[in-house]
Parts: sequence; C-alpha cells; structure tokens
Amino acid sequence: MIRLKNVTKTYPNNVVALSNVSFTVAKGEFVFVVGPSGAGKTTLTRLLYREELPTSGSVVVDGQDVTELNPWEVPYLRRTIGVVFQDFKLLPDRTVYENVAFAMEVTGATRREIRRRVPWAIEAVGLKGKETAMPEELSGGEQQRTSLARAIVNKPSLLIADEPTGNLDPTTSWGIVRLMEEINRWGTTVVMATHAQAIVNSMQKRVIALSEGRVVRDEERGVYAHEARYLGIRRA
Amino acid sequence: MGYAVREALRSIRRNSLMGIASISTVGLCLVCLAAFYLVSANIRHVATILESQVEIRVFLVEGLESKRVEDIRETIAGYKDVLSVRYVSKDDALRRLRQQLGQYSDLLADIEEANPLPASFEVSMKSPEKVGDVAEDIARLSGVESVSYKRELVYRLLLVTRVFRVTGTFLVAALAVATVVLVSNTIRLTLFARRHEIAIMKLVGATDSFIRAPFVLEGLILGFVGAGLASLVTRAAYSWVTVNVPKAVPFLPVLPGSPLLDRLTAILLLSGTAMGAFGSALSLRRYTQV
Repeated sequence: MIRLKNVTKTYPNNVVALSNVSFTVAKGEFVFVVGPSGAGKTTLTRLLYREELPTSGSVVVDGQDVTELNPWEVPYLRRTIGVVFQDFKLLPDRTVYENVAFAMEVTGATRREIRRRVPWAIEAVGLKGKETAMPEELSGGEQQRTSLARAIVNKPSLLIADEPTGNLDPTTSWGIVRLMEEINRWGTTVVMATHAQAIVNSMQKRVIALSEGRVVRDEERGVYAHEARYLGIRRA
Repeated sequence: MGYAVREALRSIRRNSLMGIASISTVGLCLVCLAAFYLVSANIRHVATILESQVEIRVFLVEGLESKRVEDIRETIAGYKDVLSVRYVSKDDALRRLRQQLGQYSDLLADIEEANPLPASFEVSMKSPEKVGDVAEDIARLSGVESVSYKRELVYRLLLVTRVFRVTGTFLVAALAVATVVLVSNTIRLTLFARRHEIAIMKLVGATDSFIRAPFVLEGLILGFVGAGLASLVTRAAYSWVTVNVPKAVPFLPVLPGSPLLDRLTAILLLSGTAMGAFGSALSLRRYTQV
C-alpha cells in the first residue's frame, strides 16, 4: 500500500525533517508512527497525501509514485485517502451532515450517492441523531467522529491520522482509536501519527518510531518506547 | 455547477458591501464608456452629414460664351467623383444675394445694372474626401476663374472626434483598470474568508477548477450586474437625449437610439462580464497556489 524509499525532506530554512527514510506498509495494516515533537511525523503524513514533495526519494501510495504526479492528478489521489487531524478541520458554519457531504460534493458525486453514503458514514462513526448539529455544539470527541465520517465517506483505501487524539481526553481518545481499528478491519489501511503512549502500548500494532527525521525502530506489535527510554523521558 | 452558483451567490451576500462597491465601479466605468461611445458616434454622424454637403463652387470667367459654359459643365460632370453639377447664372447669383440680404436688399440697387457677380457651377461630390483633387482639376480648365470649397468645418469636426476618442479611450482604460483591481480585491476578500474551506476542499480531493469556479462566477456576476445597471442608466439617459435635444437644438441631428443602443448594450454586458472574470482570475492566480 505504501512504500517509502530513501526519502529525505529538507525545508527551505535547512531544517531536515526526514532523512533517508524507507519502509513499506502492506494493504490492510494498522501502523502507529511515534516520536517526540519535531521528529518528522507530520511531514511524513503530509508526504503520503502529497501536501508536500520529498527533497529526494520516492513515495509510492497504492502502486503510484506520488512524487511523479502532475498537479492536476493530485485531487484524484486524495479522493482515495482519508485524512484526520488534531484540530478536526470542520467547517464551523455547516452542520455535521453538511460537513460530511462536503467531501462528496467537491468530488462531483451525484445527489443520490450523497444521500445514500453520508447517512451511512455518520452512522458508522456513531453520530446518528446529530446530523443537524453545528460543530460548536459538539464535544471534541463528536467533532473528531464527524471528521472521521468525512474521511471515510469516499471509501478510501488509506486513512491517515495526524495526532487524532491530541485534543481529546483519554476516554474519548479510546473511542476514536477503537473506531479507527474498526475502519481498519473493513480493509482500510491506517497510518496514525501519535503521542498517545497508553494507546500505542495496549493496541499491540506495528510501531514505526522516528527521531530527528530517522526511523529508529520498526516493530510488529510494538510499544511507544522501550522501558529504559520510556523511563528516561519520564525522569526528564 | 449548481454548487458553484450557490457558493458564488452566498459569498456575494456575505460580502455585500464590497460587492456593491465592485458593481458600482463596473457600472461607473461602463457608463463613461457608453457616454464616450454615444457622443463620438453622434459627432461622426454630424460629420458625415456635413461631409456629404461639401460643395465646390466654380466661378467662371466673365463673358464666357454659352457653348464653352456647356463644355465645362460636361467635363466636370464627367469626373467619376462628382455627383451633380448645377449652373448658377449671373442673374441667379444676384437673386440669391438679394434674398440673403432680405430687408437690406436696397443696397443692391446701384449694382443691378452692371451685375458684378460671376456665373458659377455648384459641384456636389460623390466622394467628399476627393474634393481637393477634383477642385484642383477644375481650376486647371480654361474659362474657370477660380474654385472654392469649405472643408474646414468637417476637418475640425473629425479632429474633435479623434481627440475625443483618444481621451475617452484613456479614461475608460484607466477606469477599467480600477474596476479590475476592485473586483480582484473583492474576490481576494472572499478567498481569505474561505481559506480554511479551500484548504479542506483541497484535502478531500476537489480539483482546482472546482475550487475556482465559484470565485470566477462571483466575478462574472459582479461584472454582469454592474454592466446591466450601466446599460439601464445609459438607455434611460439616451432616450431622454433623443427626445429633448432636438427640441432645444433643432438643427443638430441626433442618432436614433434603436440600433445604436442595442449594440452598445451588448458591448457593455460583454466588457463588464469580461472585467469581472479578469478581476477574479487575477486574484485566483495570485492567491491560490493549488
């Protein structure tokens, strides 16, 4: 599903965000990307949906090298990818239903398709009954569920989440992660960049750890950090 | 498409003040354009009428025998640029002069016996712009004393039209630039107000043209509405002119509104819409790096 090869990203101010990163993610996998702030997690996710281009190296998503896409092809790539953020990125002047439908409208979906799929997505994230609520009337968890509904409404083959639980309390966070796990069970590949140690540790999923732009660890059924390092961080 | 229309109207409503400002400048610019267009069309109309009245007066040598007079008439009538030739005898000339003097015609009493006025031809032209050449040829004929023609007025009128057009073009161009800038600013405000929305649209895979369509449409609508208002104002004003000017200045020929205004309306709507589209394209190119 994803194959990064020797990916290096240097920003114009000479900050090296990623340096020589290579890994592959198989179809249907659930992967945590962990590491301290500034380790390059966000840059990594942005490369996947081609918000940014690497300085060198190749990024293959669903069999296609996204670094070689023409600008006009990018929208079509993004229709196959769902993205979720820490700050939800919902439109404040639209209802839950309209926010989800928006993702379909802009792809030129027909009204019939929209009327069929939007209720499905809203129900899938457990927001049935909240269709007409405005984002400001929702709790943080409900807002994130709305953005998840928007991410899955186009049935993406890849779901990218950049700190999706960053603004949520632990209980709510668990709800969101369980939901993402379920979406993953339907066959969608999930890449989740996160700081949430407890979640990573108990989920027993693959963990790719970044530090200063390098992959320092890549384990099946991994944890957020090994004991020594983990304690080290806590002590500091 | 329905989406683009909905969004464009929504954004005009939201930024109604800037919208009104844009529509007014589009309107103002086009009313000026229309005024210049109508005035210069009318000046040209007057010039054409006057030009068609250009005549050459050919004064004949005193005491020319009638056969020679007839020869000269035929020669002049034979020129291809000449429309007609009319003979004015010495007596005719005197009669005319008396008529022109009216109540002062007594003054002529002394000269009636020995009429000093020469016989002449009045030559009207098929192609008025050739008047100089024809007059020169006629002057060379034997038996012709002198020729004269009045072109000054026509020349001056045409010059005025040209000056008027140049000034008008500059002024309208300047106004058009201002209009485009204002429309582009309006669109820029909309873009700014909706930057989060645009970011999300890009994220969920909207194409550039889909994102841009509502903004281009907004510009088009602003331009079109402005042009519509300008057309209405122009039509009303010109109808008033066609009714009232002939009353006040009877000898001034005013072009009828019918074919002229229709063409003008088309021009206004087209250029207004174009200005609107251009304005929005300008800010879209500068402020959306998709």
